[in-house]
Amino acid sequence: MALSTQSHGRTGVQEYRKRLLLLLWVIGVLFVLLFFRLYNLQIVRGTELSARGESNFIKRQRLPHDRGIIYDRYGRILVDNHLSLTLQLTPAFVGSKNDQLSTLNKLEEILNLSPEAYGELQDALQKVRGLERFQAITIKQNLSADELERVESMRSLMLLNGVDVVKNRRRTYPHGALATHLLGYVNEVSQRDLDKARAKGNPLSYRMGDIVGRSGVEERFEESLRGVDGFREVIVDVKGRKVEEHAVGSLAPMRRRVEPLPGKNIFLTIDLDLQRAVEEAFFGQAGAVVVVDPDDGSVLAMASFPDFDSNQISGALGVEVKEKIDKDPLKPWVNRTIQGQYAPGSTFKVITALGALEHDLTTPEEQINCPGSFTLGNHTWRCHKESGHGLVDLKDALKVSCDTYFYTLGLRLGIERLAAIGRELGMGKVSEFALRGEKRGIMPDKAFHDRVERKTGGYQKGMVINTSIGQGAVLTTPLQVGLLYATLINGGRVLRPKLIDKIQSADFRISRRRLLSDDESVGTSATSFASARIVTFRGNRIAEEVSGQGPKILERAEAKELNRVDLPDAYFYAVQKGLKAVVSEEGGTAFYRRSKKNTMSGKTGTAQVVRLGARRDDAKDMEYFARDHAWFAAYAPAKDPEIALVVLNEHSGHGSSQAAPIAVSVIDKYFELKAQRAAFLQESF
Amino acid sequence: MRRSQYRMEDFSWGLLGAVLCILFVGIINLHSSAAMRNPDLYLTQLYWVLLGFVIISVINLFDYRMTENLAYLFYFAACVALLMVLFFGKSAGGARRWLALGPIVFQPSEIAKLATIFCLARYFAERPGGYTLLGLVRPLNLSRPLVLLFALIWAWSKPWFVDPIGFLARFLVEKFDNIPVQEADLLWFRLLIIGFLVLSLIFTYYFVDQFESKQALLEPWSRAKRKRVIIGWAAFYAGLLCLLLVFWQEAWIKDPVGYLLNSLWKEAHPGGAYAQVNSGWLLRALVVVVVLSYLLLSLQSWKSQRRPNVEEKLIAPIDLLLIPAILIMVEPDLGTAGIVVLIGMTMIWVVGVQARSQLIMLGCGSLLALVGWFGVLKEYQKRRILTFLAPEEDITGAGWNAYQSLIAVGSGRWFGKGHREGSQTQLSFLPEQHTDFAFSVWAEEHGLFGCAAILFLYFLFLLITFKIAMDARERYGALLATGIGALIFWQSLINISMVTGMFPVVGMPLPLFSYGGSSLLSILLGIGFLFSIGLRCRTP
Repeated sequence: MALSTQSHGRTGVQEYRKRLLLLLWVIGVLFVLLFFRLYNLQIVRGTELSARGESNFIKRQRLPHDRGIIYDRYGRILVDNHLSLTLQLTPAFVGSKNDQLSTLNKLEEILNLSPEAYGELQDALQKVRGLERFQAITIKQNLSADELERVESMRSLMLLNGVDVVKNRRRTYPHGALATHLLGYVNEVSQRDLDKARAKGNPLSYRMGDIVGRSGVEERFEESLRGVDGFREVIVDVKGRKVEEHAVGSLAPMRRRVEPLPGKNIFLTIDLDLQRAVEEAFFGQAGAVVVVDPDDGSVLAMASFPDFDSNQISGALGVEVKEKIDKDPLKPWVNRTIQGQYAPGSTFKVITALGALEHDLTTPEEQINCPGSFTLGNHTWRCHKESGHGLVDLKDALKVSCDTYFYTLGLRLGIERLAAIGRELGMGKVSEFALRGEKRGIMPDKAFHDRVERKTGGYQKGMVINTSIGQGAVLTTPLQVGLLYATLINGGRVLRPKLIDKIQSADFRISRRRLLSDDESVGTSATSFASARIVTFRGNRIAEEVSGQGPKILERAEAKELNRVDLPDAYFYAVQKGLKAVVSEEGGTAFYRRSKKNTMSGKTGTAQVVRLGARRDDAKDMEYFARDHAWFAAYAPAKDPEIALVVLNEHSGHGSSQAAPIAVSVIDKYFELKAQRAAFLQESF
Repeated sequence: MRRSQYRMEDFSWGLLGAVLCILFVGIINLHSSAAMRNPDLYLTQLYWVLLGFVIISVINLFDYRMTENLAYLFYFAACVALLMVLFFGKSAGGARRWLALGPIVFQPSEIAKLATIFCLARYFAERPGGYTLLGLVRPLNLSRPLVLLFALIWAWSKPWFVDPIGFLARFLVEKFDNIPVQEADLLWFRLLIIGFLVLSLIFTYYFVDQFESKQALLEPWSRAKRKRVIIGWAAFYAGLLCLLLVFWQEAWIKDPVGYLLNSLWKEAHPGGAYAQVNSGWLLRALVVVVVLSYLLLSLQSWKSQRRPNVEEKLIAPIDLLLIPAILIMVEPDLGTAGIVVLIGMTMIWVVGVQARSQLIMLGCGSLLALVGWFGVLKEYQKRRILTFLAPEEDITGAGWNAYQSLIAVGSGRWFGKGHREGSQTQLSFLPEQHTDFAFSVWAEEHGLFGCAAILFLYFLFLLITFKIAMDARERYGALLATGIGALIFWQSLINISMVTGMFPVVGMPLPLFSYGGSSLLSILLGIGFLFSIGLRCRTP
């Protein structure tokens, strides 16, 4: 346009033109390059960068699963989950160095952090790099209402960026120390656990802070009780704050939610009421009580003393309590029902009797004289009654617990045959009980003595005499003794003790309802689950008719016979007669301790812990750990027994005075509860 | 005062349209990008725009050539303001950039950009093109050794000056910790030995005829002779430096006194170690000698120079852009300093530089880049530069801005997420979203199509601007238009490269688009002159 009018070059602009044009070309090329760069970013890499953008603002929050609940045989809760609040920190969202420091100081102020905890947090904030900064760290569990309030007030002022309050489930044991050894306790997975698992080449699917069962049913059935965590995605801004619902706008559909899968629920064969009765009835410092159903081996109650409250062990507070338990000389950690091994004392005599009968070495009617002691070679064994019992047959021998009678039978049998019948009845081997750590006890035979007492010349003939009254080398667990007495009354069936009645899937209707209602709500799973479960339990049919989403029985434990002792019923009957006489006839060792309300049979035992020789000291005068163990094994009612039980009261003295009363009150309670249940059923139908 | 003629038909409606479009889009974008912090910010920007157009109108009432006389004054005032900001400036984020004049707070560096354009336009309008490198730089001008002297004082106790090899080694260890230092040193040494050989050859070739006779020394130097002197001495000093660096690790050069004592007393004190004297003084002494002899050389040349006036002898053309650039750099504001240099270079290039000099300049530029990298840049600046290459490496640290911007741009795809719908923007993942990263916001919310439109608008703007430059009535107007066009071109290029991860993150707003009164007003001021130049393109 204006070019022609200016072409005389007077102004000298002409010489710039060429270069200005070239400059324009360069600019054009550079802008085209910019365009291609934008094309590359927005179209070629668009999908990838969009995804990265999403991971920017979509924060995945864990929805913790509910650990399986443990019920008793009637669907009453033994172990439950309660809501607890956990304070978490996500380093990436805390902000600048200054923010980090102020956040730390505020947390310290609110929570009274220990210097170590403070240091750990500081490390996490300042040293953790890369994507790990987006991983939340647990600062404190079981936040108190006061702490929650202070945290929330700070958060509302935007003073605690990156700090979240997460609702979690805490394992609770509503009955405190009840059946604590049986149920076990849980703990958090520690870094040590994870490292150990990794070292073994077995990386667990656990993460730090997950709950894991440490003992009892919690440990043994970890796989069933543990569920799968779910997650939900929330939209957060650059500081990690959740974006208000109304401001989410078009981003809302990007949020995904995967519901957690609750763990499976376990129904034990335990009867809560009976268990409580057992624990209330027990006196003394240490011991064990086992109640089993002789029909199918169900364990109705099982208690070990001393016990502890699992509630106090879980969590950070537990350290002190644990240390105290560790130092206790009575060793409360030990589940005495399966891990304690004791000389069975006179409760063992039934085995000697059955052995002698089996080999026709005696008849129930044969009378043996008891002069108060028994001599073999140059060694004398005392009967517990110095003056002797005179002539006793099998029934009387059991009734008065005559040692001489069983010395004689034992000598006739010999160690091998005694060991054989003992083993057949379950002594000296594990009962295949569900929990870990079961001890097998010792049923000594010649080889055992030869091996163990090699230095003193191996097996001596007199050893069988000690064994025949449940002393010497023989050791049993209380559970073994309980099962022995169950075997006596169920026709010789040696049963595997049953602890798990059934394993059931969670009730998804309930959990769905809880989740749908609002995840902000507290979610009273304890009560809702419980009521639902009872409804379910009373009529399994109803639940199954509703839908497949209801609880489904995944496993049902059947009675299992480990062995059948093939002896004529008459032999068992003869022994049973003796056991009945113990409590029902004048002169029986537990006659004065018998139940006034119900018929029963039983056998006392007083197991010596130290060899006393000729001395006879009163229990009170002896050092605690040298005192005798008191045993009482029983079943009730005497005719068609429904329960078999064993009581062991460690270092307490005589079986009749220290163990039998406990057994009697348990038996009375059992029948009382049975009557109550019958009345209740009558009412409800 | 000449009152120039102008015709309204020469008014560049296209330029007005492009400017209005960019401003309009910028304000719309601000409505979205500032929504989280200050939803009314776009109104503020609108007021700035209105004020800017008032200024444009006023400027167009007068002939732009009036400013030719005021150009040096303007330049001087801007330099004074830059000096003032160093002492009285308001400090923010580790840099002093703002100056308060009563109620008005402004950035002198924004003014300095325009002032440099005016100054260079006048300077080169009065002098024809065909510049050589030596003609531009005039190394024997007295200003150069003086600047070097100041630089020496400034650098005196800097760690890289005290112990350059150690500094380099530490830097290498830090940066490329998988490369053994010895290996890197070895390469470095070989290069230095080669450099020494080459430079000593050059030196001897040029040096031989300098001391022909005493008489020749006193005579005014010819152009060719001056050149020889400069090249010969430069090669001499460079070779000396190479030699020094090659043997830097040797004990006798690190600590000559200790070495001497040790070798003398070795028998007397077998195995006895002498205390090592810190011998950074050796390098310092050498540099002092170099600078002082350079100063002497320049003084000698001062006498023999046949320049018309004093400032001509004192200031070289290149100084006109280096002075504001250096003053801005020490604020520090590397981005703006770079822009000043780029604008100046563009103008000089348009004025005309000999081809050989252009090549040499390219070489010197790369050399300067190396020196700048190792010597001048601060650690955080280097980190910024490095992380733009791979922002993913350090997401939470220095790469955060670049990374988030990449995500924002990339997730825009074809058509964007929609106005005020960008997650990067609205959830504040994008930093500086209404200023430096405003384009990322636009890219995220309007996609490739929106971006292409913006690129087109800028190109249209530049096209018209350079057309105005080509059609300008005389050199001053052409150079002024070129300078203003270069300003907008370089800033937009660098800003868009920066937000798309092709350039390090430097504080650089997108002209006409980003929020910011100081920047917007100074650019609208420049655009006002563009209109004026376009209006008055005809000879009377």
